[in-house]
Amino acid sequence: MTAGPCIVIADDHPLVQAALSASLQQALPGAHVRGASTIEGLVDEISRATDDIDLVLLDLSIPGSSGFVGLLLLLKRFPTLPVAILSAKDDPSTIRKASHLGASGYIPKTLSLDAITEAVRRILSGDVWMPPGVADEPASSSDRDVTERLLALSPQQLRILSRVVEGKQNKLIAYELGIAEQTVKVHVSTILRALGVHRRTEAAILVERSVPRSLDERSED
Amino acid sequence: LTGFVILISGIYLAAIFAIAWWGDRLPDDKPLFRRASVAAAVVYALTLGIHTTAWSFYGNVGRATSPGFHYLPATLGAILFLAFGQSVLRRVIAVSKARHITSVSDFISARFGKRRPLAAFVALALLVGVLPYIALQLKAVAFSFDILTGASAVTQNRGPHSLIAGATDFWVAVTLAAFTMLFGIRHIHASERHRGFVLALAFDGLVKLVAFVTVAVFILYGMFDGLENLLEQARSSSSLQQLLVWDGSNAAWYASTAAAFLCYLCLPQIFHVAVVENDDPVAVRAAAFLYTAYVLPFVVFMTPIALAGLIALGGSVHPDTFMIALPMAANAPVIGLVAFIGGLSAAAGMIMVSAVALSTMLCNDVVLPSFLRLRETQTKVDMTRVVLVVRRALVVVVLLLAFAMQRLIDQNAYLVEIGVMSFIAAAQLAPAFFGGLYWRKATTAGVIVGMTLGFAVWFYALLLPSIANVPQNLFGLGFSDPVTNTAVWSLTLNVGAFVLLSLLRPATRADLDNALAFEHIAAAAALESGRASTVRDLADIAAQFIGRDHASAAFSQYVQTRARQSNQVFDFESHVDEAAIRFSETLIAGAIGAASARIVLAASISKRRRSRNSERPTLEEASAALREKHALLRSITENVQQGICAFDADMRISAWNSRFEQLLDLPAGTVKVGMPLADVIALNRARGEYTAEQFDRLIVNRDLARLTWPYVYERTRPDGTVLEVTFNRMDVGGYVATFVDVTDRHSAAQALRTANELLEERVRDRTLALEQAKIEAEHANADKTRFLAAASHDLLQPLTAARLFLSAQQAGLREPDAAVRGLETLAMYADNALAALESTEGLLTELLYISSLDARAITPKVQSVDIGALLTQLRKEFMPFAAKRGLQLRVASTTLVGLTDVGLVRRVLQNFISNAIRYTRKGRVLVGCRRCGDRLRIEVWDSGVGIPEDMRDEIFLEFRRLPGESTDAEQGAGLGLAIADRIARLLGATLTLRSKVDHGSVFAIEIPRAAVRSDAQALPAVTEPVAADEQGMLILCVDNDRRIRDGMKALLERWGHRAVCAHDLETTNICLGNATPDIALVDYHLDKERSGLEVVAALRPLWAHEVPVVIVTADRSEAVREAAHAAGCTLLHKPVKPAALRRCVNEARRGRKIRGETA
Repeated sequence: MTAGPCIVIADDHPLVQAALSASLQQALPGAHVRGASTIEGLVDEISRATDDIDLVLLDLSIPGSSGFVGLLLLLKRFPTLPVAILSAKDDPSTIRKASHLGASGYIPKTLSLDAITEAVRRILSGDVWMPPGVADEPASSSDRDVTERLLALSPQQLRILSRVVEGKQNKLIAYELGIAEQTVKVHVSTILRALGVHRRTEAAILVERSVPRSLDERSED
Repeated sequence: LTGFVILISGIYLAAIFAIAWWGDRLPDDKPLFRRASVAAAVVYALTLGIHTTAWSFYGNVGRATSPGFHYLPATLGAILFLAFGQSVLRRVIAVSKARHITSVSDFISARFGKRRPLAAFVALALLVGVLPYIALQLKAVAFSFDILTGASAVTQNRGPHSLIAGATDFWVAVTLAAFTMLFGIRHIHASERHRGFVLALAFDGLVKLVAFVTVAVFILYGMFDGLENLLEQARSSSSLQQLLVWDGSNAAWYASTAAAFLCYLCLPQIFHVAVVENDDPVAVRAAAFLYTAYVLPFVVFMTPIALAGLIALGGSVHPDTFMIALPMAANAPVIGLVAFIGGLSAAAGMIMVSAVALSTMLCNDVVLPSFLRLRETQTKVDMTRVVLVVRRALVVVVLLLAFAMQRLIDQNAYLVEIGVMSFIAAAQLAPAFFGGLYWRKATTAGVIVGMTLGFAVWFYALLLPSIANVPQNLFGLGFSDPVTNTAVWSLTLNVGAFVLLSLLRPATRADLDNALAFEHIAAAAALESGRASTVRDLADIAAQFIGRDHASAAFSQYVQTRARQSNQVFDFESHVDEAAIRFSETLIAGAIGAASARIVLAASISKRRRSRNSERPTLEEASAALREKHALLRSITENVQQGICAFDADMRISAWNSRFEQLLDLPAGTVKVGMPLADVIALNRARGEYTAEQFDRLIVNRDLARLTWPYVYERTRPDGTVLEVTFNRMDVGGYVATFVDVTDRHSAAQALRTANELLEERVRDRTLALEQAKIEAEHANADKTRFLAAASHDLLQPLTAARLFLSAQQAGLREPDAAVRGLETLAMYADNALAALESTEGLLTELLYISSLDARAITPKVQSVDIGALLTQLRKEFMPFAAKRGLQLRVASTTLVGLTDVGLVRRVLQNFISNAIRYTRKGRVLVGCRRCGDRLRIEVWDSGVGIPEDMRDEIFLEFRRLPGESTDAEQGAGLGLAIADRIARLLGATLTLRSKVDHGSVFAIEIPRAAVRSDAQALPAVTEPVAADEQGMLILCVDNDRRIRDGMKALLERWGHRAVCAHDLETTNICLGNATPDIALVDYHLDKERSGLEVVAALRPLWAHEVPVVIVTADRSEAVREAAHAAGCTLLHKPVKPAALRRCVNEARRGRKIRGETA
């Protein structure tokens, strides 16, 4: 294990990617840091990797992911891959939800560089790292309810859900995913049933609500 | 003997006078006899007996001696008239009573325009016509007197007498004139009825009958052996036998009978007794029979007496005198005297009545009008006396004229022929008389021309020949005898002219009015005489049309009014009169119209009277149809929703339905037919139904001529119902009002109006609210703009600084002699740039927090908070900062427990404390908590600069700082108090500030206090990131490499799990025992060439539940991956990274949790 850890930073902001990448390479000698700016890109990156990826640092507001859909997608697709959230959001509810869904850590971007590298190091060593004061508080029942429902979805369904939340029509989703529209239709109705809602709009609201939006994200959108 | 006869005559006349006198003394206010009594009928019949005049004693006997029953027509005419003309008679009586008619001339002139000339003409015509008749009576009396006394030879009394002296007839005339004056015209009475006179006449009639029968019986049984014997003797002689044979071909006989029939009522004396003196119209029917019985002896015995005379006396004696001559011949002077008395009484009765009637007629219609015209200026005359004198004078004149006439006319003429002459004259009045009574179109002109023609013919063809003895063949046409000729021609011309003229020229208004009045009176009379004679009967008729209740109510009122007005007994049993009929007609007319009402009443009357009439079914059918129509109409009006009320032209109620009463809330029975609208209004006014404005709108207060029809208005009744009243004129006259309840419509309209107003109000309110909101939004927008400007400024400052520092550093680094400047300077630049950026980041964080608060993205989570622990934590946090500023930070210990969101309160206190430290140069900062009732207050004291009064509100706004303390690098963002303010508002907590410049300030927050402390949340220590998982799991590790097993075990145990390690299947079974692991980590390549999958396959049946299995291998081949997936295992590559392992373990734990929850 002479080689340093292999880390993928999934953030659509190139500056952040670059700065974080530089800091991590400095803090973790031998670390191999790669970047991805979309969920699809990230999935490609992970699939193409010949060696094991030790950690994915995922920005919650990365294109192709609404709320926790991207996280879930990754966790489902790669059962043994540690994924930590790297986000500007630091409200306890979001953090707890992420933890509940199976994220290996939650690193607020507001932390200092030292704190961030320390957190990454801790996660790599097998800890589940959360910001102070939130890790031990249990998620509220409604939070759990939503996350359980999301957990029940398959990766393909999550992909479709993520596009439904973005307001895309079945036809477009089918085109993007290279599947038949009829299939999308079937999936969508399954998703709606799994989430316990009746309309796509309700599904979108449910998913959006799972992660409170804040001003910084909005400006990025 | 002469003296004796005169004495007997005088006694007889005195007796009559005594009866008349006695009769006049009877009380005046009561009828002589009870209504419809036999006595009344008998008396009436006896008075009618004056028609049986002296000619029955003399002339008829003479007439009976020639064949052809020529004595019959006069009597037969009367009998026929009374038999068939009863209704006419009753009608004439009724009209005369109603119109105070006292003579024939009155009657005709009353019908035809009340013209004096007409009346005078009729009076004079009658005088001329009747004079021969009176003359005849005079002649008969004188004649009989002479025979009785033997003053002249029975056969010789034909020669011319000396004019006056010794002339019996003259003295008879004088005597009778005096007698008539004495008791026929004793006083003047409006009705011209004389009770005593009537009684005297009745007595007269009785004497007449008794005398005649006595004489007849004496002749038949005293002189002969009864009627059979006489007739047998008569049959033996052929000439006598002729007298018993009826010869039907005699035209004169028919003409005479017709004339007698027609003239009967037109004769002044008959009119007087039958009409004027009639007390009781009901007596007519009975009297007709009685009269027939009365005249029967005169008819039956006439021919036998004639036969007896002819047999006993032969041609030696004038047949006219048989009545006296026969007894005298039989030496029975007493019987002769009786006959004389009978003749006298017959003549006297007739003469007296005729004289009275004629004098009355002449006085009223001829003398008085002329007299009044002459004496116009002198009004102060006692008319009663004048009238009395005039009438008495006229009696004398009439009788003298009669005497003169007696002398003039043919001495040889039979008495009966003279009578027939009178009859024909009087018959000339018949067309006018009956036409006027029954024919509405009869005109005055027709009457005058017709009568004139008739009289002219009569005068020329009948009277002239009688007087002047000039045979007249009357234009050489017609019948052989003058009577028939005259009768036929005069009447034909009369009637023809009358009818023709009446038809040619329309009746004048006056004629029509009179005709209608006559009809009305007649209808009343008909009712009176019929059985429907009481008011109750009328009410019954009316009830069929307007309903029982209404009819009885209306009639009750009518009866009461009548009784009050007339001061007489008037009730339902009273006899109807014209007024009552008119009332009924009006009443019924309200329901079915005036014309129909008249027909119905007439029909009802007729129905009763002509019960066996063939018209009855038709009439019944008609009235039934009418009733049916009426009932239909009534039920239609009763079934409409509107209240309907009809008024006549005088605004009196004529019809209505019950809905009308209901809508106006009129008590049942209030509304009556004929009730004026004003009464209803008065009633309503008394009940307070109208407001002043409504009262003004009533139709009675409007000018009907100016209204536009229909007249519609609405009226709100006191109980809130709204009526729409529509008045309209009807084609048939009068008005109809409909009443509709429009309350619902009104309340709907009202509701609509209210709703509209409400809507407008709401729109107004909303507009106001919107304007308010808009102002607020504009304010907020302005605030935001200000906020952004301030934020941009505060953000740009440090960024600019950072850029400057970095530029300087870059320049320094690029200089060839970087070392000259020294690395230290460059490092200082970097530090400064970093500090500037950090301050920017801090500011942005604060801004985001504020925006989160403003967006209500933060929800406070209220729970019990251990204030002591919180304060201790804060002290720890700020101690270094305070120490750096050389300040003392003290926290008073407390055991109080608050009830709030600990994070938010901490944020407020952090801001307070950092401010306190920042604005205090020396001294100390004190933090404490105190109880404040059910709340508690956490205070932060400082000994700083203090806040001027005018700044105390301002410092809570964004980017407002106290001036003068900006040198410090630790300058705050200027958002601390703004955030504190927002949080306080979010929590419902109160912020307070006390301050004294240069002495210090106290910032405080007041929050609810928790009652108990026990459940107070122990604050988590701000220490190491918590890594431990809540519950340890049993983890099976199978690996043939001991070092790996140990490493894993160490790692898993650090995470709080129990690890069971084994190197193959056997050891696994031993180590695990019966337990089922929560997760199995199995190496793929085990010793003895066994694969981990085989071990898993062997173990799985032993486990209690499904266990997630992670196959750990260094073999990255596709074959292994597929094999693992096929076995449902997760694949983890060696070298195992702790993070990946943790992930696997966590996944397994989540799976277990889910399993546990679902199990």
